Amino acid sequence: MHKVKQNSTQQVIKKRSLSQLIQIVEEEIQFPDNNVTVMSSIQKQIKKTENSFVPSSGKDIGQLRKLVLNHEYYTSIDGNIITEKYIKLKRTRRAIKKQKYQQQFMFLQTQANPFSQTQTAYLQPQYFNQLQIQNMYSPALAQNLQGTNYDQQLSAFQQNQIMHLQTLPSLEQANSQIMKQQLGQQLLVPQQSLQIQQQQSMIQIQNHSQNGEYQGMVNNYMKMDRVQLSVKKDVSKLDEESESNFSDDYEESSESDQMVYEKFSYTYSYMQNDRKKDITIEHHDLKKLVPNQYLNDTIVNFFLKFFEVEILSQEMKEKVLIFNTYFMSKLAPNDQIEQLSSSSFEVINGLFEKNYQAVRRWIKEDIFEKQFLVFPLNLPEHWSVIIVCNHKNLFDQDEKSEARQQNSSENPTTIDEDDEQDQDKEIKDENSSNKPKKEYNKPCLVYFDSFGLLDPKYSNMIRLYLNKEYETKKKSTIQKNIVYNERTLPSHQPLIPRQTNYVDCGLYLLEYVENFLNDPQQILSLFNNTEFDEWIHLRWFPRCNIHKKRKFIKELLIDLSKLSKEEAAKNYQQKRANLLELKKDNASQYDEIDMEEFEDHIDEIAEYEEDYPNTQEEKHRQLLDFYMNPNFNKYDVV
Amino acid sequence: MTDQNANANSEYLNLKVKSQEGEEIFFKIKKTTQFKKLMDAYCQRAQVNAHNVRFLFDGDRILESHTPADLKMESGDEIDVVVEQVGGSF
Repeated sequence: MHKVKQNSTQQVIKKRSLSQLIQIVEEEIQFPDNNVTVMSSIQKQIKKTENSFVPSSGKDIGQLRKLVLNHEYYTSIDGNIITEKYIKLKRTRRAIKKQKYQQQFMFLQTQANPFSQTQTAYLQPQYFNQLQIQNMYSPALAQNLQGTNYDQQLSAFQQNQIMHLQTLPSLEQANSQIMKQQLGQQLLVPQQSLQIQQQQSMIQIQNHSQNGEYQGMVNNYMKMDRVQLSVKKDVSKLDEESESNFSDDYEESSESDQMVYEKFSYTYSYMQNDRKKDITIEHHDLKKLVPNQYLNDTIVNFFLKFFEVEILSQEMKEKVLIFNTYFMSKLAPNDQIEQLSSSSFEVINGLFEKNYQAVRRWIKEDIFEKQFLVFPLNLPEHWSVIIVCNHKNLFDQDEKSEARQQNSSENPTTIDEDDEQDQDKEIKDENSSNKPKKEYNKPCLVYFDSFGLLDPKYSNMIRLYLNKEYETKKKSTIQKNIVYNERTLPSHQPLIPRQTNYVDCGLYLLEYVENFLNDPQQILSLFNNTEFDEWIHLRWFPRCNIHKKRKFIKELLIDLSKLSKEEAAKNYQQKRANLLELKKDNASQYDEIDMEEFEDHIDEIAEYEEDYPNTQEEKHRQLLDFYMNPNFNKYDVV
Repeated sequence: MTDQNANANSEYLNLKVKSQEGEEIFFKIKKTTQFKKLMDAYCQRAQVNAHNVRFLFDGDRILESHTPADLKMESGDEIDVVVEQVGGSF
């Protein structure tokens, strides 16, 4: 019976046009778990036709392929397949790139030899000007690059280079003004179609001005090549199938899910400061949890609140204050980005004073009673989060040290002994409690961003806010001059799992906060520790937590509309615990994707610098560079 | 007469609705009227989709079903309008 059904679905798929298949997969991503057999037969079809090549179907089949991969990403049980695929893809690409680079280099070496030394000098980066690079992209080359196999393309490129080198006059002649002009006329390619390529070349030249235009040129060539390769893999058979009606059972079953979406409305109520507060999640908010959608403020605020109120332990709840997403948008609005980036303190402070008035009445709690303040940030089209930790300890510590100073002024001879005894006690305490890591209790600000951003203007605004709150609400009781600045409240950025696509940063924000508040010391103890290995092998959470989170939150909301809050929270926690249990033994793989990206980055540097120092210190420096600079975040879209 | 006036005054509130750009619109609303009415009026006037804006009072979202009395609002109170925040990449 089952077999018959499967056969029939396969036949149905064969009759489908590409656009219909795309629609099926899209629906399957939005309303998953309805028909495993259909998806697997689509996958089989794609695999079967992997090596055929029809240009006309290129775009559609590429889209289908991407969707199928996307579907796998969001439905695979533990994310292992994706990690493996991703890493395999990366490694193959790197190998191909290396091989090509070597081939290019060898070729240029051999071609250069027959010429005189002055000619060889042309191969030095400084002699490559824009004009010559234009010539590398002559229409002849562009045409030859249409060839489907790599060898053809390479030989086309080489041919072009030979032509190019032959037209070059000697260095001395080229230096004379007249020859330069002649060369210009000879090599100028005025076709409009080349303009884009010229622009690309310009960009490449700018990017690689330090490393030589040659590298830029090779990179540019590779980029074209990659496009070619990706088209090459496309499939033909699926496209030509006749368009047939589809009236299958899975259509209907997904419809019932659609009904849930269209009717959905749930109001989550909780108590805060003895006042009832509500967050309403409507059907259009629920749709933000469908794969490939950006999360919105409603979902972020709901989940953070729900997590704080229903899931966090009572002990932790008292230590934490989670701000809503509007708070930082009022304090550092996106339309003030340029002004806030200004270096003038007066400008920034002026804006702060104005913006502070808008949020002055928002927070009823005493922020200095809390240990952790969570500020979600909404940058243009991006989510990240700042967590202020131990800010209270700034004046608490001051009290202690002042007390000590007072003691010491009374008994100046015994200072050292006192201090030593104190230290001894601390060490003993640690040993007795058997804690593997020393707790980090210094005031600090931790910046979590799935793209590795660390934007000082947001942390500065938060420091100004803390200062202002202290001045207006706390100073009279504490009676001390406290200033939060970069020294007293430094920013830290741990090396956390980063984003591997361009849609999930909201999920990363939620996962960062959830993990951090579950065990703050796992991150905070890093700042005690300067051990390189500890930093890079954080093993914080498996990446499947991210792509399962959409599903979990969606199911949580649907549970909440049917069950009690306690039951829904329990279900959510159970699912998450199961997932973590499944991945527990593979904790070493948690950071694998990030490490792979880093290796890629190191390789690229090694290409430019011949005697690249491979020392541990240098690698460490590069790694930090890599993590701190969003420009290095070149994850491919999974 | 004076009693009636006082009653009328206490029954209605003057609320200031402030957009992100700083534009202010004043609304007169009954204490027991649901905010849906005010929100619809604002969205129509500002020509925005109701799904894309949020109304905040002291930082908390106002629901359509809330009334000024629910939120213990007083005349002259300010409502902030913010647009939906989204994010996924950079």
